[in-house]
This record gives sequence, structure tokens and C-alpha cells, in this order.
Amino acid sequence: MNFPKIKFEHIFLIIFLALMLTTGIANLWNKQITHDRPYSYLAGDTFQHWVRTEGIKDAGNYRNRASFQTYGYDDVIGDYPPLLFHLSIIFSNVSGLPTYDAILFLIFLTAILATLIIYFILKDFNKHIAIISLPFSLLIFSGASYTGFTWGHWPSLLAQFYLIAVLWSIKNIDLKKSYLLIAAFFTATILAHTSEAIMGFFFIIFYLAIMFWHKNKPKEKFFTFLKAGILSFILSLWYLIIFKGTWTHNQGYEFSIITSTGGSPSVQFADYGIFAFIIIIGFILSLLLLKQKKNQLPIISSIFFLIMGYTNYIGFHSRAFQIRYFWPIYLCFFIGLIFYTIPKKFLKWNIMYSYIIAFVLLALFANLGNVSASIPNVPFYEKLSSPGMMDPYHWEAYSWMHENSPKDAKVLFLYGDQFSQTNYLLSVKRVPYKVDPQDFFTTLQNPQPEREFIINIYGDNVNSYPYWKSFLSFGYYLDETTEFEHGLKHDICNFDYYIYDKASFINQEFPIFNNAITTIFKNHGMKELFANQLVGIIFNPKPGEDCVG
Amino acid sequence: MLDRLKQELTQLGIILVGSIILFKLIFLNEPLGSIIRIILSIFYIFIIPGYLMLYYWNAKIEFIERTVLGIALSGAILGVVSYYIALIGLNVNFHFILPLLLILAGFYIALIKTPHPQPK
Repeated sequence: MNFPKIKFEHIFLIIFLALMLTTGIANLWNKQITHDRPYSYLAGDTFQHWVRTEGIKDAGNYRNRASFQTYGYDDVIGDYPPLLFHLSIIFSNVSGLPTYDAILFLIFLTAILATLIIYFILKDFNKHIAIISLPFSLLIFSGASYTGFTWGHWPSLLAQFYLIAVLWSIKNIDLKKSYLLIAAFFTATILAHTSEAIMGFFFIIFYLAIMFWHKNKPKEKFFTFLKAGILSFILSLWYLIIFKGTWTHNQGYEFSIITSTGGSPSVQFADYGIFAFIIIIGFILSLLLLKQKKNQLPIISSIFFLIMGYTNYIGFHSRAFQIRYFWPIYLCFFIGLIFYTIPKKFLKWNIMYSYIIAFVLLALFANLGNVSASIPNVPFYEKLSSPGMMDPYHWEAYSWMHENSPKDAKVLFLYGDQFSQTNYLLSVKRVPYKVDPQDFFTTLQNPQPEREFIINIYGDNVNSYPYWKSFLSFGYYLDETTEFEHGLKHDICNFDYYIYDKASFINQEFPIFNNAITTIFKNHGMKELFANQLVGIIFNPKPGEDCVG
Repeated sequence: MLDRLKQELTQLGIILVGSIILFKLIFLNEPLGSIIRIILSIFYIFIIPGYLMLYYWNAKIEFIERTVLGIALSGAILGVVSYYIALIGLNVNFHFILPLLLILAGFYIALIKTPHPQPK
């Protein structure tokens, strides 16, 4: 048997991979892959993607969104880019991992692979620069970039992985039938998160413009892209029709300037401290290098994605900030360029110098020995290990609900510390209603018992719940009704199940209100069917009848 | 041609064993059996189908690069096909068979469609 020769480069890549796996997932996940509940889900969007995956798994396809996500409508079009969910289901079914672990594991895995793909792209340009650049990409697991993973920007991260694969296929554009690779990766980008495909389209225009400028086989490249584009268009046509009738209809382009995402932490250029200066110098040097005719892909792509990260100033909204989550990958070339070009002026370069610099940077960014923490203005990885929003008690309660209640059960959430996160409520896999906490507390303090409370329905209500009116014609449920308006009083007795917290980490008095009303409920014939230390579920055998009088 | 494929498949086997060891060292609290199943799944779904399909370009792209990009390629094809065939009625929960079909297609590409180097 022929065993392959082990090169030092391979050892370097294995060390890098091990460090990425450790800092990215293992530390966060308590050195486990399988968990007994959604783990390290730190924001509502994480639950949104997971429950969507579960909905598709239960239905067997993504023709429609799950009705528990859509106020009970069962024919709302499956309009979210589907790639991540399908891959997660297949991976879950084969590996035995629960879908909530499979989906997040895939995101980490693809992000780590994205760093390797960039390495291969840079290696074709200059191996030394590739080696020195790689460590900077570890910073995708630091600061605001990390929230792309823990706060649920997963489809965007997967799409950027495929966008980077598109860059790699452009590197190989001169190969026979390279259009097949470009088409495959571009189609995947469209079906993973379409806005990244739009950025990819702009990149190709930018790239072609440079090729025309340098007269670097522009016609051949143009026709390769054209073939890839046609194939990709055909392969994604059905989803693009849905995208046009849903996302572009409801969230079309509109000029605006925003400086932060609002919903989640934003990556800012200054976060990179002194390395921000190095990136600026690398950027300027790259602009000068644009003149050269040699392989320019790393130069063009690094310049492009630095600029795209600022398109929040021209109306790209949160999409620009999502690109910034991967800035450590896109911009690592600038770091490698400077750390290689400048010392090389003074030294007779040796490959070991590149590895030494890379290992020093790797140690610095990974904060080995806690050294980086004591150096000002150096970005570094900070260990985060968190089980996330879902505790075992709520998970037990929600699992009980979707195993023991009818699918069309009306479920009302009373007070709970985490109940303000809409997508978290959807974990129960039933249409969730929730009391308005302030009104709930106020109304319960009235001397006369009242049935009417402010109760709101919740769901994944982007795009106004689109449905097929006829072939290729869309209707929008939420544009046609005011039935689900928030802030209105509704009868609290009109529900089948009530879920409530027995304790609060925010204010110990809040559960007193839950206790008060559930005691009244029980006095009116309702039964507590489930209870653990933290959560209770009450069943109402006679919805609509007086339950508080 | 066939020798090269055999040699590279052996290398994939070494990577498989190496991945199991690496994952066990990193994910200390995960049982070994679970790690083996996860790694085998990654190989079955992503690595082997993609590697075989990219073998078409084996003369121009080195082995390790093809292996990594094969993961992306396999995921791309699998995700897109899975979405559409589920829409036409083939339940997604049975799509675990798709990687096997991709592997067969990959072998066809690697053994039949890949351009043979011209004898010097």
C-alpha cells in the first residue's frame, strides 16, 4: 500500500483545522456534538431555522411552511431559501444527530472549510501569502463575527461558503467544463441565501471588468460565465419565481443608510484593532497590484468584499453586515500580503519564515496562554461556552406539548422569561399565542376578575404569508385580513393549553401572577397535565366557557 | 489512471481514520461510536461523492484541494436535487439514498468520463 508523503503544509493545515474546530464548536458545545436539546442557540433566529427544518422534515418537502409557523394557514408557500434545511435533514437522518445539532454543526463545518478554500485560492497566487493569511480567518469565531453563528445568520453563512466556492471555481475558469463548477456553486448560493448570489453577480461583473481592462481572455471568460449563468438560472428557476413573488415583493430594494443591524451585534472595521491598519495598507497595496496581469483573483475578491461590507450605506441593509461576518476570511489576504511583502524586502525568504509568522499569528488570534488579552488593540478569540436559551425544563415541556397535544391546539403562553422571543415560542410546534406581560400584570391586579387580556398571536410572518392564487400568481394572507392585529383584547378562556413559568430570573414577583391565574383556572375545572420545577402546562377541557369568574 | 484513483481512495481512507481520531481528541465528551457515525456520514454525504465528481479535473487540481471542494460540490448538488425531488413528491426523509446515487455517478465520471492522459 502506498502511504502518502506527509508534507509540513499538511501538518500546518491539520493544526489549523484542529484549532478552528476547538475554538468554533468544541468549546461552545462543551466538547460534545450530540445534545439533548437545542444547544448554544443564543437568539430567536436560531430557533426560526431549526423549527423550519423540523417543519420540512415532518411534511417531507418544502412546498409550504409548517402551519404552526403561519398562524395556522396550511398553504403558505415555502419561500425561504431551502438548501440548508434539506442538507440538515439528510445529514441528521444519516448521522443520527438531532436536527438542531445537525444544522448548526453543518454551519460550523462549512465555515471552517471556507477558510481552507480561501487558502487554496491564495496558494495559487503565492504560497507564502496563503500560509501567513490563514490564521486571520480564525477571527470568524471572535466578537461580533461569532454571533453570525450563535444568533442564527446561518443561511447567509452557508451562502457565503458557496460564494467562496464560486471564487474558487473562477480561479479554475480556464479548465475544461469549468462552467459546470461555477453553475453548481452559484445555484447553491441562490438556494442557500439569495442576497449573497446577488453579491456574487456583482463580483462577476467586477471581475470581468478587470479582465477586459487587462485583455486577459475576456471573451472566453465572458462566455464561460454566460454558460454557467444560463445553467444556474435553469436550475434555480422555480425557486427564483417564488423569490420574486415573495421576498422581492415584500422586501425590495430601497435606498437607506444604516450603521448597525439593530437586531444583532454588527462587525465594525475598528474591531480588528491594529490589524485594521494593516488591512488598510494591504488594501492600498492591492489597488496598486491591480495593474499587474498575473493571477488577480485574491486581489479582486479582497477589494470587492471589503467594499461590499460597506454597502449598508447604499441600501443593502443587514445584507452588508452579514458579509462582514466573513470579513476575516475575505480580508485575510491583506494581512498575508503585508506580513510577507515587507519583511521579504529585508530577508532572503524561506518557507519556514512563513510558517513561523503563521504560527505566531495563530497563537495571537487564538489567545494561547492568554497573551493577546494583555496586548492592546489585538483582536483575539474569547472562549464562549453556553447552553443557550433552551433549558432542559422548557425543552421537556415543549416536547411534551408536541407529543401530546393535537396539531391544531390553541396554546397560550402566560409569563416566561424567554417568551419575548417569537421564534423561541415556535419550538412548541403549535401556533403560539402570548399574553402581553404588562397588560397581564395590570389586569390581574384589578379587584374584579376579567376574561379579556391583550393576547397576540406569533409566527414567522415575513412576506405577509404568501400563497398561490393561481399558477404563478401570488396572494398574501396578512395583506387581506386584520384578524391578527396585535394589541387587542381577547378572551383568555378561549385556549386549549396554557404554558407558564413557575420561576423567574428577571423578577421573582412575575411568577406570582402566573400562579394567581392558574389557581383560578384550576378552580374552574382545568387540569395541570404537565409540570416540572420550572414550567407548567394546564389543559382547558372547555375552551370558551368561563374560566375566571 | 485506475492506479491513481486507487491510491487516492487509500488516502481518503487515511483521512477518514485521521478525522475520527482528531474529532475524538477535540470532542472529548462525545462517545466514540457517535463520532464514527458522524464522520462516516460526512464521508458518505459530502466527501466521497464530491471527490469522485471532481476527479474529472484530477490532472489539474491536486488531491487535497479536490477533496475539500468536493464537499462543497456534493452539498450543492445534493441540496438542490433534494429540494426539487421533494417538491415533486419524494419525501425528504428518504433522501439518504441520494448520496449513494451521486457516488455511482461519481464513479461513472471518474472511470469513464475523465480524460485519460495521452501517452508520451
